[in-house]
Amino acid sequence: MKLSFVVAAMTTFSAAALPAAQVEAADAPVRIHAGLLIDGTGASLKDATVTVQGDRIVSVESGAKGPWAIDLVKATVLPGLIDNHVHITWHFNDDGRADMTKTPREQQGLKWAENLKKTLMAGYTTVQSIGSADDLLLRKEIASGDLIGPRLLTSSTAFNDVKMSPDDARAFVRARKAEGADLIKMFASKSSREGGGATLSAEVVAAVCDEARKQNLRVWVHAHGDDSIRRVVAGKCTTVVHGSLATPPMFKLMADNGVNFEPTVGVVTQNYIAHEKNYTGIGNYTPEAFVNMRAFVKDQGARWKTMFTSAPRLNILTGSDAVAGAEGHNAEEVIFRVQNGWPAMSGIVSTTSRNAKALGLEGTTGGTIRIGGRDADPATRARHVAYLGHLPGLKADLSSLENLDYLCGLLGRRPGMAIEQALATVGLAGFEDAPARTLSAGQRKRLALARLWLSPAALWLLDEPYANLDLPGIELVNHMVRAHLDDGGGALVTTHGAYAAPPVRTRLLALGEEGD
Amino acid sequence: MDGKVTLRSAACALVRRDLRLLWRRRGDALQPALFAILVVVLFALALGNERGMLAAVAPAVLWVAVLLSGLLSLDNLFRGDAEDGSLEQWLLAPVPLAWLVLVRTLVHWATTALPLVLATPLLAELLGLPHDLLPVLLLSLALGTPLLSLVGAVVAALTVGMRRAGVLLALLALPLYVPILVFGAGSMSAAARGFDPGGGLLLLAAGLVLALVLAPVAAAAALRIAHA
Amino acid sequence: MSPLIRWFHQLGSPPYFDRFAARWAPWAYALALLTMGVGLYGALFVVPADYQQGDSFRILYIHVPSAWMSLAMFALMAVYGAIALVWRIKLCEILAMACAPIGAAFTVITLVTGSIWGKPMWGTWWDWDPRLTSQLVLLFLYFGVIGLYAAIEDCRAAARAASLLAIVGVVMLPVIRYSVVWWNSLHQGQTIRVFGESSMDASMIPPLLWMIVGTKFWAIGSLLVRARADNLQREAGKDWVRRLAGAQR
Repeated sequence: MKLSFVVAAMTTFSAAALPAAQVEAADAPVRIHAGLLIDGTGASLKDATVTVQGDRIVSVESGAKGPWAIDLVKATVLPGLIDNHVHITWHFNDDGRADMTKTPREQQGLKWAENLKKTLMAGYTTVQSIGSADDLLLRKEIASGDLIGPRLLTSSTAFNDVKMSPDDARAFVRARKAEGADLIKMFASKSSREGGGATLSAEVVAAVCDEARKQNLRVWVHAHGDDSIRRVVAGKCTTVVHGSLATPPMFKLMADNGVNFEPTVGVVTQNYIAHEKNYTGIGNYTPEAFVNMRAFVKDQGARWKTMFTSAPRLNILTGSDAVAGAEGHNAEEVIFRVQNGWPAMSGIVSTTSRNAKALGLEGTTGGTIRIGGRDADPATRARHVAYLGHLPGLKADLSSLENLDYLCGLLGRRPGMAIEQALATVGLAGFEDAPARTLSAGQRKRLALARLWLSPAALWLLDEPYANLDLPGIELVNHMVRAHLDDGGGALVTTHGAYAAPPVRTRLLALGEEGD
Repeated sequence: MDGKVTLRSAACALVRRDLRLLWRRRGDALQPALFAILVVVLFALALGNERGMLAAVAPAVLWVAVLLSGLLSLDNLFRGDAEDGSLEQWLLAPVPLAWLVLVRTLVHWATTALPLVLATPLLAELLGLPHDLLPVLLLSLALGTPLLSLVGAVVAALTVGMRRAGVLLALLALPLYVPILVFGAGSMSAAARGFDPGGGLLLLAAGLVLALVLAPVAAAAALRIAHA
Repeated sequence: MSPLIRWFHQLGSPPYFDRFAARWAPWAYALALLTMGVGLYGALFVVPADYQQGDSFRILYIHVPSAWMSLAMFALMAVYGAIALVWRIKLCEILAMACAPIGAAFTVITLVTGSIWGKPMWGTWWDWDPRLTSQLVLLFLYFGVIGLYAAIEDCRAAARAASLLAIVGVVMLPVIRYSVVWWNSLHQGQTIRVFGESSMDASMIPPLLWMIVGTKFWAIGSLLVRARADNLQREAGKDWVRRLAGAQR
């Protein structure tokens, strides 16, 4: 059981485990003997044999199953590491300055290639480079196998224009999609060197994130302070990056709303300070800024502790924000976090499977439904499961009573429950004979809820049950779910807004953007 | 009713619903029959007023008219239920999907094709069909139209995943209708020449028995594909 | 795992199939051209003219193998379709859908050559001969499968629906065939039996066999190329396709 889980988890983000060029030649199965295998989801296995074929891990077996091509019996084998936040094109030019505009064109590509190689050799097989259109070119070259480097995901140009209207912002997102960007990077606050205040209105943040959702893109938002983080959460964006000035309630807010948090505590500021002479005098890297950074970094450990202890359910991702000087030092982000109290396995999981999931690289391909340990077959399913989806299954020409009469005849009815009683419960008393055609959208939803109320099933699957409902309607759903749970039933509720979540919650599954 | 779902109670619920819906839209229910009458009228107008000629082609024209009008209402067989979410509930119902498909198809037949079969004596009279052929015609239609509905149900289920099926529905259904048309119209034509029409009719009956068993299963599989 | 089963599993992986198809399609085409060349040479130059039909019977060497293939492709499509529906193997969906246009093309060839052959024999381009009629219905069934596959947006659902139609078609084909023969016997008196069971001279057989083998290879080659194209299109955006596109840039 455990073992099969390991295989499933590893195959999903193994594609970059070997550099692309080698994969071509690797058709025959390659066996790797690992002294200790850490699977990246939290499990580990001593003395394991991993078989790789092409770009997939095809099996993980316990024990040494020779002959193996690669013997790592004295080593620990991990999935390739993932850094969600790098700037692969940043570099120092020949004067040692972090001023990329001064780099001669013919040198630029070489600097990029150096950065890619350093990052790959540091164990990172996938990186997300945020904020440069040049990354698109690099992504293509790496994918073709001609350039050695980690698999690259990129946002292309970042959204950083404070003057844009919501409509312009939507157009910006569509333009990035057309360009082939993997995600949107947005700056919603000033840098921490300038106080971290919000720079974008709530409307623009919401417009970007909504359009990105429609375009199936993730949004990584640079946000330091509370005001900007609130806007990011309200806009249902994917991930808050930095959050270095955030107060503890913000972490809880993000956790409750399923927004990822990606602090950058271990690499970026330390790197600036270590390379002060390379940065001073460029843009906002003023001497005063460095004084502030030195003071700031002193509390970094304590700040990090607050971040990961404030909200246990907070989904903490790992990105280093590695800029010029930090390439190849990406892992110092995790090292810093672990040195300051984070369990080491959390660091590994966050840097591998959790990052992979957040980047949409890990997908579920199928599954089965079991009820009481047995596969749910159609004949028994309805007794156990009632489904309320976007389509209510009501006939416009039939009255409320007739609709419910038909659905109960088809799906069964809870013993002792009268249809009129259910209609009264959902607030449709007096509408018994009104054709569904004449009901409002909210009333139709209530009619569908009445059907649910009449269902004999113990498990309710509710897909967006709050849609089209006013506040009393939302309370009605919550009341119904509560009563159903008190009755010994269960409910699986999907919803966009946590504001309308049922009052009882034993488990919350926060899903990513790519709902497959 | 204590709320337990049986094959019978589910079928009753479905039949009750369909009949109620039909009653609410009773104007629409007669349209296939009107269409068939129009086709017959057009044939008569195109072929001319010659009594003998009309009588000679009458069996063929009547069969084609019935077949085409059946095609018109085929798209509505599952589309409405797919669009308003009823189909999702069918999939969850504790009775086999094929059973619901069978009931739905038979109700559909009873409400669209049966009125047409009942109107055939009138149509036959319009075309001057010899009276002794009328029983054969009615019998062939009584056996053939449910067969058309059942085979059509498979096709309608296959196209339910599309936004609009349009001409594709006809393209898919008509080749499969060929044997039904051949045996149906063929038995008429045999009877018209004084041969025994029994062969074609028996083949139709055999086909109907097979289709009653197989078509709902195939249509249910198609609905599951469309709703995967 | 036995080597055969392992090979079967490997073939199911899109990149592996891509390489497999890319390697073997040219060989299939080459063998097809070779055997059909031999067959056509024999058919046109070696076999003597028929004492009744003269040279016009030579079209049989295209007509008969195409007719066989038109039916064989439908059966193959249904077999792939059944595997795709039961075991949900993506590659079988692709292969089933690749069968349809090839089978349709063979059906068209059969109809056209049959019609050309019919002109000197019947004195008309078209006769409601049961074989030609059932070929015509077969063509519409092919069109139905192709149309259904094209009309549904989700390509996996489309392939599965079209596969189901192919299976229904395979069940119905004998019925259709029988019904057309029955219908023909009902309206006796007009048909001239051309494709009767007349015995063929022994010297006429070998080119026919060459052609039959040749069309098989041609079908295999087309199947691989079509399935490969569909496979690449479905996998577009995956790393291995990007690499492949990059390598051939």
